[in-house]
Amino acid sequence: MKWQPFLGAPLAALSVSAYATQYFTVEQAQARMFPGAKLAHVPLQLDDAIRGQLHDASGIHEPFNEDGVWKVDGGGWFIVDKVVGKHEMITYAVSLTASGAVKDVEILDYRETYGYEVRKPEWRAQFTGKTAADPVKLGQDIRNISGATLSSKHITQGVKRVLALYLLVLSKQ
Amino acid sequence: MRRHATALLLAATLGWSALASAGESPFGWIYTADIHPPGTYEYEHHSYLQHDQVGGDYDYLINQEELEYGVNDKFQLAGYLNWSYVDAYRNEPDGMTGGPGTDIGMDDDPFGRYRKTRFESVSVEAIWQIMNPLTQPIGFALYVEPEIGPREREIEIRAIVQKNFLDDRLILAANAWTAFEHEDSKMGPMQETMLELDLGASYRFADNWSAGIEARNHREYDGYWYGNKAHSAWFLGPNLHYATQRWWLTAAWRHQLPVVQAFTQEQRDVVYGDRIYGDEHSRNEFMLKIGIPFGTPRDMRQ
Repeated sequence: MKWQPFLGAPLAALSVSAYATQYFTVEQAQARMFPGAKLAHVPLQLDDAIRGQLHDASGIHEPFNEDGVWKVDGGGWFIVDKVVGKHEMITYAVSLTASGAVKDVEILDYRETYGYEVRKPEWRAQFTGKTAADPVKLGQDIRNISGATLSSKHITQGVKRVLALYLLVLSKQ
Repeated sequence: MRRHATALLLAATLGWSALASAGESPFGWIYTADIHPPGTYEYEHHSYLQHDQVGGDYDYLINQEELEYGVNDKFQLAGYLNWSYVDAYRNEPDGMTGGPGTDIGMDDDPFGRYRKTRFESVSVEAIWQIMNPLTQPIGFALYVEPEIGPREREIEIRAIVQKNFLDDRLILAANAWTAFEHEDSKMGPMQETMLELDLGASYRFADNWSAGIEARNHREYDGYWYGNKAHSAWFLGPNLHYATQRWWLTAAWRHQLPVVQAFTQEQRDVVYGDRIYGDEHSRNEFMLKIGIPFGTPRDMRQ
């Protein structure tokens, strides 16, 4: 029997157990992180000097989302940004207290094969209370998740950048 | 005829040794120092095609069915089933039939068509990540792959170096590897040693998509060890990678550059246009890899 080995890739009937796309919209994340609060959108226009300082603080090359900052009535900030994931961008939100400490971190979009552990409350809780004065560095004061190193690293860098943004820009507004 | 025997040995050597990738990789042939997350699996199919020699028809397709498993955060194991298909007809410089994957003996027609599909071997691959490219200044891993089949036995040892830039979008990787092989063909047993350096770059230019380039310098030695040089050949070509949550695909092409060095008369006899063909190389090489991960850590919301 003649057969075509070029077409012979016997792909097994295997599937990945769980996939997700969007966990929260921006509005849902705002309501979750600042229940009942009124938020005012604060569009930013960062100059090259600030962008350079944000890069130096975090190591991130991907541009910061200048359209993702809200000021909370009564004190506090809500920031939505993106960092590079293994295949696609990871969208995350950071809530800050009026004094610039991390209140909470939430993952909005995550479309990777592995690394969903970054959504676990116990891992995200490591960021709570961190300020721009803290290292906020994977393997130092933030624990890595085995098998989710890239996501852990980039989200940690993203939170560091948000804290640097507060120090350089938001604290002066 | 001795040349045909050499072909058999070099064919398998080239084929299996060059079929290299650990887990999802943006490269066709180059390993990166990343390893599978602990407790997860991946099924992969690799098709490596050597296409075109000097004339006639020549296609040698080497297939691997692979199952990978992340043992822990520093160690990965994989098992391979290797099979092949070859279709050759008067493809050599002298108009005879031969080349990688063929096994032509004294009783075979040297000018006839040779077409065969066969099981080649099974192999086990172990990768030990010593430095993580994501958290340390440079990634480094060691690899060993013993292989055994009805016609051949081989062991391959590889050093993998990786450096990431630009939020890990840009990956530079280098593999230095050697392999020792014994093969039994219709023309008798033979031993060969390979020494190879592979260099590559890949950039994720859009969500899900990466593209890059790979270079290969393949050095061959007669017998076990590095005393009797046979030849040195260079290849260069692009790669393209697409990956989603559920599957990934990598396609790559390498073209042999006209800069071969042949160190014996037997090797010089199969050089044509400053490229080496005959019993082991082709003008072009193509790789298609498909990966399906499973055993993903369960989403805590479901």
